[in-house]
Amino acid sequence: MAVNSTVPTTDASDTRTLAQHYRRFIGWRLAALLLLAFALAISLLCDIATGPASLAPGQVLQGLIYPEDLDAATRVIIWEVRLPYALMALMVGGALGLAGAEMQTVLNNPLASPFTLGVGAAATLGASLAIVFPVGLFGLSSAIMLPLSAFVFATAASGLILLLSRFFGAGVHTVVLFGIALLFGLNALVGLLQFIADYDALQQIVFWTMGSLARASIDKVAVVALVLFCCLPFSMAQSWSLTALRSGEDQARSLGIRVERLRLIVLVRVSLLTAVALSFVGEIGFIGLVGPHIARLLLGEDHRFFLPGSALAGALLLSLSSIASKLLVPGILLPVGIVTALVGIPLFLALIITRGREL
Amino acid sequence: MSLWIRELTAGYRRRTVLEGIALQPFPEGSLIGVIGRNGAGKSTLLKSLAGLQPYRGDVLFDNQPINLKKWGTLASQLGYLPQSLPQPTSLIAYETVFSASRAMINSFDRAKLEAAIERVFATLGIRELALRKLSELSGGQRQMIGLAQVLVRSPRLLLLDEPTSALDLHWQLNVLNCVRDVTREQEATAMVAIHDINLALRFCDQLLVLGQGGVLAQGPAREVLTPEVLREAYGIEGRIERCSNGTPIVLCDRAIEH
Repeated sequence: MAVNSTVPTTDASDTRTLAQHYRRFIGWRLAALLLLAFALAISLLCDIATGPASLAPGQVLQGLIYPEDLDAATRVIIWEVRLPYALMALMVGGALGLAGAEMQTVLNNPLASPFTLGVGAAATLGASLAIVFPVGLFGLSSAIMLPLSAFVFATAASGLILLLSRFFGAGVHTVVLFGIALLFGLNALVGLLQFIADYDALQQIVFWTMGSLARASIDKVAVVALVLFCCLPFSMAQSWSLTALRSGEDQARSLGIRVERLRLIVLVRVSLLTAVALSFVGEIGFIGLVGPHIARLLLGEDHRFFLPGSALAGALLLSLSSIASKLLVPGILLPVGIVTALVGIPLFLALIITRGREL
Repeated sequence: MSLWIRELTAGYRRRTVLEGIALQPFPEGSLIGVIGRNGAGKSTLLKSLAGLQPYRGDVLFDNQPINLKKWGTLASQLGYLPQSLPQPTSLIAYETVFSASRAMINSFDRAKLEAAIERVFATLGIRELALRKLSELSGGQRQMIGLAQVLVRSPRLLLLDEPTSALDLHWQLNVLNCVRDVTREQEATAMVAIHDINLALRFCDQLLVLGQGGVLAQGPAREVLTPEVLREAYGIEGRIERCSNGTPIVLCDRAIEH
């Protein structure tokens, strides 16, 4: 196991310092982040432009900058129908991408996603309960009770995991095993509800599990955006610790990082992001898993770039899925949860084929 | 005196590994080899000193007690290399070392840190690995990166848990030479858990032999090992011979049946 490399990456005659060499990587990563942000902006415009009443992206851009120049019908289409829908794709995708990235790091597991610990299943159980037993509490309508119930259950599931982890130690395996046990338990309860539900309720539950942006409104977008942009600075503040954690738990501990504490804080953040995002759109599972992998391939694992990159990649994936959901079957709006995998897998496979050795 | 250990008891929930060990104080600039059989408590001792494992007793470093609750300030003076290797992730070796230092300190001088990283990569002879991903490196190469993470902070107390376990002969000598130079030049104290007794005899100033939950022997490396100590510590019959340059060398004859 020789230490000497046969493929040196720095030439002996090269007088540049390692820091100067390393700054090239930083430059590429910044460029990749900008590229992702640019692709996201284009995708947002295309998403707004796509639909039964077709609009040109240029027309959409002009309509967003000068809404007063639009005719009444187009203004309603752009500002009240499609913009909330397209922005919701960005915010939910961003939240799930960020949550997935943090989850994969603290659980040291590339297969981890916000659904690993049963948070998604808990949201589904909450929504299913609200559908099967449509009880209005405190004068709230069923339209509010459904996302509220999903949020409460997702948060409760996260709380339970955190509580158990607190008592039994927040080791990676402990957290994952608790999560998996909870996932199976919740899925069984959802199955039971589906069994006793009448035809209409069953259809609604199935529709919820497919995930849909059709429930978007500008208020809901604002809620998800608020949570995402409140969580992101806290994530970035811990980016050095999270990067150090990628070397290994023992290594991180030796640096004075309180790994269990870090893991609990991140899980609280992930739970919040996931619960809020899913409560408005239903189950959209693929983004939190694949978004971080795309970011990792493009940007590496320095979390200063990896975390925002995962949020951007998640947002881009869901935005592209949103466009595809309107185009795949002309005249029919497919639930976006089904389309995410169809759009994401080819993109993901292309990346694996071109840069797979770096996974 | 730099490091003083009194009545230290440490272990796990249901098993005490080290029971009330007391050591003679180690002077500054010592390179201390910790040897003993598997499970003798070498890693437990280092983890306890590093503040990563609860213990009872007193550990004084520069006459100050090592307090687990003050681990944040302690970490800047301690450099602990765990037995496990850094994971083969897509992190670049350079940023592994950089981020490790940044994760520890809030305010830092970038130029100083970059110069320290440059110096450590050159000292260890691994400059050519600096821009490669950990996933592309062998286990031995990653062990060197782990060591660079420790040395870059110029700690005053180095605790290295089997730093040569994944290295070939050339790099074993290189690493121990480097650690010895660091202890002498920076007046740091280094405690190194090691399985190769002959390497320990060659490089260490002091040896600490652990076994049966306690200290079997402690003293200058060239004096502490005897056939009786070898029998008690390792369950072997062995001899201590001298090389032509006077360095003691252990020759193992056979394992004693239990």
